[in-house]
Amino acid sequence: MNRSIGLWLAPLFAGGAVALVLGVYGRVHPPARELIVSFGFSTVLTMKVWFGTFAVLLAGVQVVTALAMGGVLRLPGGRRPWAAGAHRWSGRLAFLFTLPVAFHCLYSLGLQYSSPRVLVHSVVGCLLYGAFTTKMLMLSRENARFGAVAVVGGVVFAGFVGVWLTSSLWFFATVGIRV
Amino acid sequence: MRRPGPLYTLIFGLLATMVIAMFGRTGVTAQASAPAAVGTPRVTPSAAPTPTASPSAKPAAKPSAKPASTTRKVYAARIPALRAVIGVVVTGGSAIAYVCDGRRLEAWLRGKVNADGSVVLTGPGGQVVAAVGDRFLGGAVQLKGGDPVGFSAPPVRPPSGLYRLTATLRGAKVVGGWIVTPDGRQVGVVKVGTSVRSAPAYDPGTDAVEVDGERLPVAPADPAAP
Repeated sequence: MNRSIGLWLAPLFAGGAVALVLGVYGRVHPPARELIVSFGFSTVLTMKVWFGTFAVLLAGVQVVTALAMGGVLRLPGGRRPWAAGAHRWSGRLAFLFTLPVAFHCLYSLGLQYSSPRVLVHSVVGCLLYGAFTTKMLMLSRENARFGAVAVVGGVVFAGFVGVWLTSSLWFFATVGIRV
Repeated sequence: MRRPGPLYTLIFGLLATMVIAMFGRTGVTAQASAPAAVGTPRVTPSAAPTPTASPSAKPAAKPSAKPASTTRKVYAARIPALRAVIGVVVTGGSAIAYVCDGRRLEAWLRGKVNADGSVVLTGPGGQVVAAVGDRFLGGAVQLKGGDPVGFSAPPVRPPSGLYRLTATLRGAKVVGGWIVTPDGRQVGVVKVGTSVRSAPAYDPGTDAVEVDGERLPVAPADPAAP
């Protein structure tokens, strides 16, 4: 019993530490004026908007494949190994898409709270990486329970959606759809 | 740790971030010409001539009205009573002043220098009545809703001075100001639409800052510019 609590607590604390470190770094580090490459988009901002959108779409794939893995949803030809592989790789790809975006956010801009949107975006963005760390660490245990992982996965998904709503959707709504 | 896959994912993410940090950055000047906002026509309410500020338009009473001097003088000083800093640029008979506390308080004021060296600067945020001298600019500043406070500001040299940003960012008017004092400190705020925030650090050697992910132009404040 104690051992299982330890198995739970370590990933939770690690995730909390990651979120905290990112937030403190974003606040303490003076925003760098340097930009990062825009990966072929016209501006760094549109790159972030679209990478974020790709990531949140892949996060949707995550939810569907997770439901299939848990047997909640029956996909056509939905054998577990297929869903598991799709889940793993869509997740990795989503994570990869977030990295240049988050790097620019934290390195070039920093954690800000000039408006509610920016505040929510800053905080949820940091929490997202904390929750993701927690989930990865939980998954690396052989005896990870599906239910427990699903809860953390749900938090990660909520983070993805929250960050996307306060950035990409805001951009689409106020500026329009640009590349 | 019998399933290392997720850990590999985390480690890979860390490595990918380091790669971005090492190779993914572009220099400060690489996109300096990028913002679409540069040169957008813009009307500052305070730029409208105020009826009271035009005595200098009268015919010169003295034999030789001094032609508008084109020398540029910049003054800056702290105003402890306001916990703010004032920066004033005088050139060509016109003046622009900026009072700012680096957080919320900010006022841009404009005016003409009279033949006797007095100047009244006005704007939506308040007014300044001052005398312009070679060794100082001194007088009183009264911000909207506040009491008059005296100040005396010595001339400063670049990189110290008063810098201003005007642009349009995604439909919102952006106005920013920085007062760089000789001790190297800088005070400024940036107003995007109606929201006021602390200004990002500005390097007086450059011509832009980044606001909300876009590089916007910053230039030494000029009374003649919008």
